[in-house]
Amino acid sequence: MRLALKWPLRLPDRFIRQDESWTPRTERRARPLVADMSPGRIVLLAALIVVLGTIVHLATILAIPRFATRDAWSRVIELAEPAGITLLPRARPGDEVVPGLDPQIVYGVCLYDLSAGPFAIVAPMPGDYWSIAFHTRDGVIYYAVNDEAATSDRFDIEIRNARQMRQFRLEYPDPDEEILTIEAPSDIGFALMRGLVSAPSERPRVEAAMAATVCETFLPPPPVPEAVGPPLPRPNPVR
Amino acid sequence: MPPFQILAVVVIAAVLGVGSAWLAVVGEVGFEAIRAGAWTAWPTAGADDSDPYVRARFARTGEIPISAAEGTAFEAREDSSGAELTGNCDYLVRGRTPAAQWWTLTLYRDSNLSLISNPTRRYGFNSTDILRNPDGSFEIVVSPRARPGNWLPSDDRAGPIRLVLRLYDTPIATGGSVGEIEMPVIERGRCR
Repeated sequence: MRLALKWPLRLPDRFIRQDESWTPRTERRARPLVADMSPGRIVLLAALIVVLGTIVHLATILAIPRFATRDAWSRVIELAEPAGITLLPRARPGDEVVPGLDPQIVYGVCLYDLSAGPFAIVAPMPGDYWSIAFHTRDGVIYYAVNDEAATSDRFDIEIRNARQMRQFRLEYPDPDEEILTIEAPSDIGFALMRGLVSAPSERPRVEAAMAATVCETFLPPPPVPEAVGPPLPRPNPVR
Repeated sequence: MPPFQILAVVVIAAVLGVGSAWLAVVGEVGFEAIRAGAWTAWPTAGADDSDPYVRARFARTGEIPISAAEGTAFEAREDSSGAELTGNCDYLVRGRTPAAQWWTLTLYRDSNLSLISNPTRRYGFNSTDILRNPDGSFEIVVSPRARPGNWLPSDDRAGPIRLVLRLYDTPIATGGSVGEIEMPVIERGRCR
């Protein structure tokens, strides 16, 4: 009833009675807080709550991946050896290193850091389903391929960053078709391989094939030793 | 505006904003989900343009997503009638799976996606080790008690459970029509 009597919406006091803006705070607090509000004010407050709430909601959703400490990246980094391939321990009830692993898959991880040089993976595929996926720090899979794409019984892959890729294209205009060359969006990341175990008796074979995967950084070629003896003839610039 | 009202607006907005975000991430919100019967999949998980809800969800659980080029993971937390899957009920999972080179079906605890221990050490089935009917369809019984045929052991005390059907090397995520996906149905049997 009081709400109805207050309608239409009055301008806030400070716009019309500036001399009374000095009303002691205690007196203001004593006023009923909700009953005193006009419907216009209630609508305004509700609208503010909706707008602010939406902003908080979206900000929370966007912030979760940034502040997640137990995401897939953290768990994999904790387990994997800095060099070579690491097989993720087989999932056992109550003792899973990463939640939701498929117990019928053998997982292999290779960490890479392209700042030292391009990275090469030579993977003997176990026979049944096999795949490899390249993950970045922010949980993006930028490249993935499975055994259907293979032309032989092993997979040769090279990863390069943008600079190494440009250099590679200049040096090798006709690259080896047998080697899959991938450009990575960032220097660090990991490759995750999956090999299917179609029957329990197959597990040792799949694990052995996975463990035989070679993951290594190309080291820069050793410096060419100084030629000893008479100087070699210069190459013909015309040719 | 009096300070009390400003404070009230900010507090209510923060509680509603964070609370709704949490519910969205724990629940099954996602603009890019594929739903087929009782099953849900997030085929864009791990893609660099994936929906932020899917990203937040995977960051929270710590699961490693599977990319569309490798396969698709469908999960079911409810049976085909919409009731939550729990360890103290029997379920019959029957039908066929969509086209895929390989598939695996695995049973987890819903709360933390850990496997359910059992004396037979059977945590799931795959497309080669399952017993099929002559027409190619299959029936799997999820039950805490031993059953003939394809028995997937659960646990009476496991609480809510989750089934995950992973299709490896499947055309579904890379352009198949969602309406045509034929997924197994999950029927609830006896409960204890």
